[in-house]
Amino acid sequence: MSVGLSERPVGTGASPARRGTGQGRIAAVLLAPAMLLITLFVILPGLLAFTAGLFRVDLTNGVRWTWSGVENFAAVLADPAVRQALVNTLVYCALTIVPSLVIGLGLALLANSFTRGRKVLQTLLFLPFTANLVAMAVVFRYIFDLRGGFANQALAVAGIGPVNFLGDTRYALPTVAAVGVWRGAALAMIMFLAGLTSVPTAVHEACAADGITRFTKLRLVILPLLRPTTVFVTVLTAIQAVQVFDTINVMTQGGPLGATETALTMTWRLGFAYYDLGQGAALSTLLLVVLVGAGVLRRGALTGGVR
Amino acid sequence: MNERALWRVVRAGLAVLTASVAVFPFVWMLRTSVAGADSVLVDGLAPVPSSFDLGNYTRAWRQADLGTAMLNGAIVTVSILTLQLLTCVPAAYAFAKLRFRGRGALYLVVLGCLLVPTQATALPLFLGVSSAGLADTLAALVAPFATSAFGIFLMRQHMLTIPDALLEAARADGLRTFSTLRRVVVPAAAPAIATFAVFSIFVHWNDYLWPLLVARDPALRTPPLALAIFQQAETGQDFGALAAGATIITVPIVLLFLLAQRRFVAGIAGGELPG
Amino acid sequence: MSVTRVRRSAPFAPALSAVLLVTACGGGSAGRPVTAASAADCDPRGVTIVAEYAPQGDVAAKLAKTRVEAARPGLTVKLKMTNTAGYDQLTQQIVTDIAAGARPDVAMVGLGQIRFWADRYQPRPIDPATLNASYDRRFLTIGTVEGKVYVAPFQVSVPVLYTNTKLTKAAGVASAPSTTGELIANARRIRAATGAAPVQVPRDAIADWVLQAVIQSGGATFVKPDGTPGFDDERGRRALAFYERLGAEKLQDPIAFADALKQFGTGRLAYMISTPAQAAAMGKTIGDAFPWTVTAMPVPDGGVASLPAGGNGWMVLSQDACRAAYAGELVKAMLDPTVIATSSKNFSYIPVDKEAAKRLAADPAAGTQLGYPWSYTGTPTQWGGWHGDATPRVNVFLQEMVQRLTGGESVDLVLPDVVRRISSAVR
Repeated sequence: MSVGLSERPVGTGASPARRGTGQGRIAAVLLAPAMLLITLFVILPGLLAFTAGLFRVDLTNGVRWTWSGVENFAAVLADPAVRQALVNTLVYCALTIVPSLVIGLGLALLANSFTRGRKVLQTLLFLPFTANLVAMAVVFRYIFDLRGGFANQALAVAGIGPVNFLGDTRYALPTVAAVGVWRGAALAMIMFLAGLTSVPTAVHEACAADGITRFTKLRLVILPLLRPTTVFVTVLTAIQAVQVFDTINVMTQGGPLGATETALTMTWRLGFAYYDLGQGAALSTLLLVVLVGAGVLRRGALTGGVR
Repeated sequence: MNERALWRVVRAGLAVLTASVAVFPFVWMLRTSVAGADSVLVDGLAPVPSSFDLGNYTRAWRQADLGTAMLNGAIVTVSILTLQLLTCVPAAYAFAKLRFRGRGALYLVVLGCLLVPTQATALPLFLGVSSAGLADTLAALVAPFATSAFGIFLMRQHMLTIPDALLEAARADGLRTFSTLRRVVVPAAAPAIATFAVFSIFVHWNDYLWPLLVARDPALRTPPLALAIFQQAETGQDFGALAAGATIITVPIVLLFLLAQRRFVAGIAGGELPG
Repeated sequence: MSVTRVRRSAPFAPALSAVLLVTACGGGSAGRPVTAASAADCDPRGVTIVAEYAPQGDVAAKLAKTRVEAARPGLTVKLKMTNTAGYDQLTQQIVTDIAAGARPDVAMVGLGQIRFWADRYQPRPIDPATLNASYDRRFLTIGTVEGKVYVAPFQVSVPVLYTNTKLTKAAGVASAPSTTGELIANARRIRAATGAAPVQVPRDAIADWVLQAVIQSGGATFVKPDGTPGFDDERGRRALAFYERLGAEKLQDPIAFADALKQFGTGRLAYMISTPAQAAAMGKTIGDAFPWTVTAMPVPDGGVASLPAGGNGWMVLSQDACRAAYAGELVKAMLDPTVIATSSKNFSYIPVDKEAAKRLAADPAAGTQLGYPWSYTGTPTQWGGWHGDATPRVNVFLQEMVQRLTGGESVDLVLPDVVRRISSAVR
């Protein structure tokens, strides 16, 4: 390690974050590209999209906006299909977020406990996230087919009658959610694995030296160390659950009888299938308000305690 | 000792079980990709089709022009990832380790952007991109994803755990901000960066909606868009070619993952810096 | 919509209004009537016309491009083939392109969306006199809205019945049913023999198309001239009883159309109502596994076949008279007898050209499952016909009606509810 001249003397115990306002300029330079692009490609289109909720938007000749006040919001809230989609979204979240996290963490711990064959295992476990959904949708339709599908043949062995997984309004959403967990757990696993590998080897050695049992080590040592990882995996999984779109779009298009319609597939349907951009925008605005509300409540977790 | 042996058996059993569940649909996809037209559809579990047709692969490759599509896909995903890393790493560092006015508020804006679904902004973005004359260009496929709120979030979250002492040491070594970023922060945040890279590559390689909107020119098609040719609702689907095509476009990214794996899970333990 | 209240830009941010203004102005002079021009009076040099279509139009478009460019030196025909999975997606793409200022001159349009385009986008009427002499003019009624031909049908189909004759013979059923009553009676016998539900009538995807065929063939009106649903009457109820029977007697499993195709392909299903366009793919799937036939769709007892036309056609969207003239020439070239014969042969469409029909009648494949549409002599009706942009919404309601009826609910319960929702959607 070479000893060079530093720009500033290093104060004892002074973290770089306490250096004061001299860092403002550096921060501005570092942040400018990202913030500019976010403004251009997320915030502006977002404002535009959400503002459209207050207008009737006509696309037939360029884009025409006609002020319509809260008409779109009223229409959306009064639409039973929209209410069903919102309820479905909640159910989907309940069915996928926690299972994806728990299974993902379990898979990461499992893969991490192997030394031989570990790479192969984690690659296999990660495969679901690499899937091309359009092709996979076809495969899953085979698997969950009412007659002759693999899932029902397996159930038949156990003596359970055929279940109409995708055609029955009671089972369609849980089935789609199972596919969601299949993918979500793979993603959560890989994130947890990255977190687990950052646990210093010294920690493992210390635990071994103290003779701490596997479970206690997990609970008292590993999980607390994984906290930052857990926060962003949770946020990511939750966002993917609330914004579920692709899986449903390729598997059921929201059917049967709207049983798998979710907030976002409904938004897309209103905007791009019904050409009612105003209502689509109103629904996404409502969704955003709810999410921001939830985010504000959980702000501490999101910002990692640094304010 | 007995307990240890039991744990090994349970562990092996769990590994086989979970891997089977993860892989099963892929086995099915492979099976379909080599099946003859009259044995694409079968009942239950028949891992080996009754007739074979490797023509599925040639059909997938030619009809969907997968060569062009994969080249486009590679250009698009690599460009997106490069731009994202160039913009997200500095921003995440600023949010994690620098103190400036408005930091909290600005970071909340970034977090808010996480909540904006791309489906909601797709149309205004498309209109903007078109009016900028970028419709049907590679730039239109890349630009909207040039930075990522999620990337900033994920990396900042990880950079919080970088000990300040490390940065002090870098400063003591006379490193300026950009050198610190390159030589200290990036290696220390490698797992987060690798995780994000994997996420970004897979999402954009498989993205369908945005390319469908902006890439009409067949020469600009990305892999999932190219495969749509086998999915014609009216004239029936060509499952064999669809599965073969899906296999072809999945192989490179799985290989990439295998290669990246070493970088991504090894060498970071104990906080020592690789490279 | 009151014009005075139209705002061309969002009032909240100047930067955004700039973006919007650019896009808003892209549309040009829509709505203004343009006097007809003859292509001969126009100068083709430097003019580019654009055709936008789904993959099934590619052969026709490429041929037409070559011909028209050769006939009009200096004219460029730009082809925009979208890799869309269906006509809804195709419409979405063209709609967004028009919003962004890129209005095509010729567009492929799903025959179920003609009314939407006619009501909202001022397509240019097609003069039947400009089409090929051998073009079969009986199909022009499909593309006609209020007396004007807006779409020249290209690839046309009507719902048909697929029968697995191995299963029907085994149950002692000798001939294909011609009425829904016969179909139900046969289905009962087949179910007694096999124990499984033997019928599939589409419950999603093309559900509204088949439903319209059932309603119209039962003598009821699908869309009244004022745009409201016309089937909430005695005839409509009798026609819909077909679906109710299937559900009440569990003669049909509640599964998706894609799964129904799989069931038929694996030989588990005796009857399914489908589109002939799927027959080529189905033939490859089935191979020699079992014998099957394609026959006329059964009509409700006492009814007369009145089938809506599925498939697609070409529409002229040019706003400038000269471009419209060239676009018309392009459409004429796209409807080339050889192209029509080839696409009808490959995908089992009804040939819309008499020359092509003659050639197909002599084709050895005319006796196979692909041949049914080639000798179809009926005159199909327009598909859909809901006014304005109500079609996608109405189709969801219709699909729900089919799903509820085949799920075991009664017509008396479902019909009033659905008709009420459709009526409020078309208003």
